[in-house]
Amino acid sequence: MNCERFFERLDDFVEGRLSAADARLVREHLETCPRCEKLAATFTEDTDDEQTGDDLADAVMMRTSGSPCRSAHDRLGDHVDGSLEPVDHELVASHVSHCRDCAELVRVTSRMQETLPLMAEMEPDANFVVDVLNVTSRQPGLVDRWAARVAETFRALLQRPRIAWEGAYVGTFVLVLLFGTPTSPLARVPQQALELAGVNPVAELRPPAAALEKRVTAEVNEAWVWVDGTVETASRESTTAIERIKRDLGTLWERVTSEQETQDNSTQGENQ
Amino acid sequence: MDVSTLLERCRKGDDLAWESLVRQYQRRVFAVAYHYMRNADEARDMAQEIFIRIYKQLDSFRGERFLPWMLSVARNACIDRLRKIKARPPASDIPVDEATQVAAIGPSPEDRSDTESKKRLLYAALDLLSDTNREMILLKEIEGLKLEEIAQLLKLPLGTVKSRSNRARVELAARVRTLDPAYGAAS
Repeated sequence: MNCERFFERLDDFVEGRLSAADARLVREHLETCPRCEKLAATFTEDTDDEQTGDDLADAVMMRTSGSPCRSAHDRLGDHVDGSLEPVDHELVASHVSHCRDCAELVRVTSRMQETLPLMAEMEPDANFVVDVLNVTSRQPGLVDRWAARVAETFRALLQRPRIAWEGAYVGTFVLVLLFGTPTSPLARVPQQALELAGVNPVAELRPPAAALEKRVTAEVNEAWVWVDGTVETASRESTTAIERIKRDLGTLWERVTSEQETQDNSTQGENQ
Repeated sequence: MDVSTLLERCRKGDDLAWESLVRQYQRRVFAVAYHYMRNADEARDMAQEIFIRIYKQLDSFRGERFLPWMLSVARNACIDRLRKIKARPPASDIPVDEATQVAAIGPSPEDRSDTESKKRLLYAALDLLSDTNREMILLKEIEGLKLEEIAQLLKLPLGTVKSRSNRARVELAARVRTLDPAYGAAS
């Protein structure tokens, strides 16, 4: 037997109308189900009205909407603060008067309200203020805030996805503007820097450049002579080949034409 | 001197005004830092960091109540720090003794009254709450912010804040009862 079947037989059980077999099943179920046992006791025991009322109300709540404590919890804080609507306040107060657990929660919550605000402050050590002032008041406030704003802007720029490209582009543009344009006042700065460093790249590069030029010229001339010779040889050989071909072709043509003449003469002779 | 006058002086670079502001709010800021960091050493560093942020962001505070703005700065700083740490000791690993040690920093050693024992118990119970509920208790019940201010700070609907606040109080009360069933009994 389950609880649902028990509920169906509860009235008959209380009034003694169950068969022996059903009554035995009900009793066996009551031995294993405290909730149903309590419910049955509500109907069979002779108790005072208030206790009967509480037990009955609990039993009815269990069989209908379930425990009302969750609803009470949702309104408990406002109930303690006294900010509930009058109807809600009365409902919660009524529940609390019959529910020991919720009454305890109300009591504890009320007492907590006395202590929690006292936890809003805690004393740090004696050097705390000095340390904070040392970190924050080293410079005049305006300069600190300006520096912080610049740092913040710089940090935001660094987080841009293509900052490397953008930075290189801007940097190159600035460098060209500053040092690359003839009209810029800083145009001579690179040259002046080299002179200060005692470095004259043009003069230092001239001798090796001249030697390199000489070597390159010699090699190019050599290569040109080789190419020239190769072309001449190829031209001569191709001319010889062409002459030979012409000669062979000429011989062949003479032979063909003489054979044709011979054939023509013999044909004419036969016709005569 | 009221806070708005102090802040105006601070914005103009008056170091004495800044010192006065720091002294006025040092206990508050330290308490907030401790509630988030749950460790006295970390709370001290965090409190200093919070004041530095306040100092740098003074220009951004205009007209509202100073306390909610300060708590917003403090909360953001603590959350940033906790994210970097990326690990918090489980609530059960923070013994009541640590809360006792921190609570002892507060009022003078002579004041070992019933209030101190209640505070210690509440610290222990707070450690057992979820992060969300602990923050709700801190903002509403401890710091005394209004629901609208909390909703604005946490960027949540007012109804959500109200229901979370109620749930947090009930959970805290239940934890307190678990730790000390006789808490708050008539003495």
